[in-house]
Amino acid sequence: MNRKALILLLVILGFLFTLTPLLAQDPDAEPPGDEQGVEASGSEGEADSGNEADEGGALDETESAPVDEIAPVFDPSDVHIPENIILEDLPMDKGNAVALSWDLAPFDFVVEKEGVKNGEILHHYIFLINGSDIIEYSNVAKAVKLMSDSPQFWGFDDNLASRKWLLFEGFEVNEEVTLQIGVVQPELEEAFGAARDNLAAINKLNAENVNKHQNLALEKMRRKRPTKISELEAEIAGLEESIASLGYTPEEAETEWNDIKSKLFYFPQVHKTVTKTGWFNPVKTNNLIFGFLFGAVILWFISRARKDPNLFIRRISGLEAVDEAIGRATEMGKPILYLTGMTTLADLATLAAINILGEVAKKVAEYESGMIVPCRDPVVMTVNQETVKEAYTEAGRPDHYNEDSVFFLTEDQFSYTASVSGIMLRDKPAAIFFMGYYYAESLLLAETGSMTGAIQIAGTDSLAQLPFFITACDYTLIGEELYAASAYLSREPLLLGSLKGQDVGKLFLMAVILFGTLIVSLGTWFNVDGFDFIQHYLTAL
Amino acid sequence: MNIEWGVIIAGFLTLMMFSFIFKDNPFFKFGEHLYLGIAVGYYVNIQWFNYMRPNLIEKLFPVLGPPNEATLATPDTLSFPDPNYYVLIPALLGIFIILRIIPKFAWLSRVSFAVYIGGYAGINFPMVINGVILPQLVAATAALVFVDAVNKLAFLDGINTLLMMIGTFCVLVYFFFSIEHKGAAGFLSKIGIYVLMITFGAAFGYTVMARMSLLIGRAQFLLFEWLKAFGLNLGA
Amino acid sequence: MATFFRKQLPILLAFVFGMTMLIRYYVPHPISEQIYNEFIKWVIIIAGFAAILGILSLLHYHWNKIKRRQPGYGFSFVTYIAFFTMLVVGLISGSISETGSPLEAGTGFHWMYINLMVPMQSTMFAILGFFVASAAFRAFRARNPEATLLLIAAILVMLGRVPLGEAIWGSFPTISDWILNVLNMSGQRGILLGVGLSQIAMALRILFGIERTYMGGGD
Repeated sequence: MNRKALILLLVILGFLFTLTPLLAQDPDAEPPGDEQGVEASGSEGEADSGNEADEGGALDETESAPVDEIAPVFDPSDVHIPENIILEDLPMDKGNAVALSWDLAPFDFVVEKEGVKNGEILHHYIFLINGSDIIEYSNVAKAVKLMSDSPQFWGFDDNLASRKWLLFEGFEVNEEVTLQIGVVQPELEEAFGAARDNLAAINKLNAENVNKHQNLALEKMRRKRPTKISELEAEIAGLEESIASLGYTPEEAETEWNDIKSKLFYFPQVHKTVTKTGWFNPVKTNNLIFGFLFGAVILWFISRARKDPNLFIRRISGLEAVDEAIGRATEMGKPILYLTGMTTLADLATLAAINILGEVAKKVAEYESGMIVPCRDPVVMTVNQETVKEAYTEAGRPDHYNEDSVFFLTEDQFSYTASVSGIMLRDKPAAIFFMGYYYAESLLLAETGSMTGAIQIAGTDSLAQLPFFITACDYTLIGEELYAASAYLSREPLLLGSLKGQDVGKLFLMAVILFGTLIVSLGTWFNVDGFDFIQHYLTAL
Repeated sequence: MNIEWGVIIAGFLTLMMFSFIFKDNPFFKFGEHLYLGIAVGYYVNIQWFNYMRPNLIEKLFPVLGPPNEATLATPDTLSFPDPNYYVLIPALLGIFIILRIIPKFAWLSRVSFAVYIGGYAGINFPMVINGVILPQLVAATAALVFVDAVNKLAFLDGINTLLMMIGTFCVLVYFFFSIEHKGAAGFLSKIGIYVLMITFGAAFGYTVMARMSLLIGRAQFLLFEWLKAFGLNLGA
Repeated sequence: MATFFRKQLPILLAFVFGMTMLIRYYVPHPISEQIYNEFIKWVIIIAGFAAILGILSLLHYHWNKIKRRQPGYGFSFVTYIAFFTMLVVGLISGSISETGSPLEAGTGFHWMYINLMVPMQSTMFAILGFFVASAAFRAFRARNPEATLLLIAAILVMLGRVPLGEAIWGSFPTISDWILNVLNMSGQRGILLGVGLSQIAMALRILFGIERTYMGGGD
């Protein structure tokens, strides 16, 4: 069978596959992705206009029905204020936020604009912060959540499902925050909007103007280009003209805004709290416990391995092939190509790849074959150089180490891919190692490599790329095997001990899953509340 | 007529790089080497203008950087922040790495590596627990519900939950390194491999479409935009 | 004393920095965020210096090719010319641009980026479309049960995700979803948990100075 013909056939098939949705389907028919997650309860859904279609509908309604027919006069007793309003410091944060919470009610703050729905008059709420700042939400419904939806702040409690909350940010630590809830009276709505927009408009223009002035001053100080200076001067003149054409000064806009603020209707209760922070986030206790547990187990097994260094490790076929690959390279007089992945040293997979590089380099030095290590990150390159050099020294061949064998190409993902592919096609390495973390380019690299007929050994923990390595490489280290590889190759007792500790960790995780499922299931089977505590502990303690 | 040189060049470069599919050839070699040079030149500029200048040079010599925000009252006066000499510490660590080229001082780079790698190890430790282990455990401890009066499919849901648990366990057994894969462990790990292969197959099938659409996107550029630059309008 | 600086000091520093970054994760106080941001800036600066070495090594690599008249050394000139052109154009663009970024629209650097770099980038990415077909071909030749399973799962998922598949048999999407949500998910979970544990162990070994290949091997 002609391979190229088959590939062509597959490409055509692929085109057909991909094009069919365009032909057969309305492109807008995609269901909305995460819209549903926003609404927490039925009652909220009623008052809320989650998607655009709804909003449009609501708008039409208000427009078709004249406002004064339904809401002629503002009457405070019409306003729904929810019960049990609490303003408190947002717990577990860095001390810059407060939370306002209240009892779930059919009609509450979840109203964007004064309007009519289901025959009820809903009001345009505002929040007055520290007596001066007015906070409005462009879509309150999206900002409001049930407290039970945010266990990272509130933990788990049955009452939380019946409380909603809003977040207010931007405070200092230990700042006293006051909050007053108010309503924009329907008759003031227009003036309120105008005052707000006027102030915003002049502030924006002024900021732009100041910015241009600064640029002009900088230009005069630094580069002194006459064309640029006159350009900036013209821009400033234009801005000043538009500021003048507004017909009011910033002070006037400010006064107008303060004036309208003082006319709004406020509820008498002033909510107060002080922002706080802390030195330990109790919600992360579960994390700390797991960390301690795993840490203790792994360190214990490492220390045991010091005393009893003869630990068993199962066969990893991909690593058995390392000797074969290097041996073949020596026979053919061709180099081996080793990649340490696409990520920086911030990624532990890269370090795992460098560990294996050390072991492979030792063998390469012993066999006296050549090595090519192109790198994508300059820091990784320097560490690779250090590692390979040390490996040659340990193998007793420091003189064979060639500094040029480890080099940097570029950090651009696909330029790197193209260049490495070029190296594969021209230098024809006998063995290729892909270790570490990879992105989409994995397929390009592995396919090109396999066309050259090299022995290919891959190892990655990148879930999305594993399939491509598996199909195109001779051996693939899957996920954890990548991390186990350096222990396997070096037979270093401490690393083997750590592996043993990891196995115990896996056993522990299996036990958590097994008993966790059992407990949660028991709760469901016998309809008993509180058996889901295990999931709570795993989410936020 | 206004000739769009940019689009014309882009089209030729596209064809050059595409020629790689058939075999290694001088056009691809040219494209590859050009791309490498351009990409590294790009990288140096980004490193300098976006990272080194604002984070190092302008911290030491604020007068080169952006001035303090001006006020409405005095928009024409320029003032600059105070210099921040703490950045000399990481700069020193950077210089240590460069000193690798002098064998006598090569060991200094280890100090920089230690800071870099050690710091990230500390960042990763809790993040892995938070981002991988705990969420996976929460998802894995779902209730096994077989009977549900309302939802008749509940039985199948229960089976699926059970299947997922067994699948995960078998995969974990496959990853046991300190026991030999013989007997029961051998059997389970064999199932684990099968589960893994299905996982990879699914990921493969899932990605194929996305890759194809990339190809279509590039073909569209050649057919519609590039040819248009030569006066050939195929529509779209 | 000398060995202290060469051997112990790096290990000590790795421990101190690692522990600081680890502990700060549990601390909500704003200082914790400051420490993190500061560390990221340090890394940026270190990487910036390392970049100098990186560029030099690349130029050296291609210089060697030219010097030794290796086959295709003419192309190394292309890299040299492209690099220095992009470098100079970028430096000029960056210093005359208003925002101080060379990538500002209208600059020569931006033009080269859009018309040279981006098309080559997206073409290399698009070639994946062909290669995915050739990888599928490779999978077709599968002769062992593992590879066959991989192939069957891939075909079922693919058929379930295109209307063509649904037109052939209405149950393809259901099967595809089942494979993705049940079998695929369980396999992924197994890998993720295993990898997570390995990473924890590795981070721990770095913190306690057990893992030190990165410092040029053992003692």
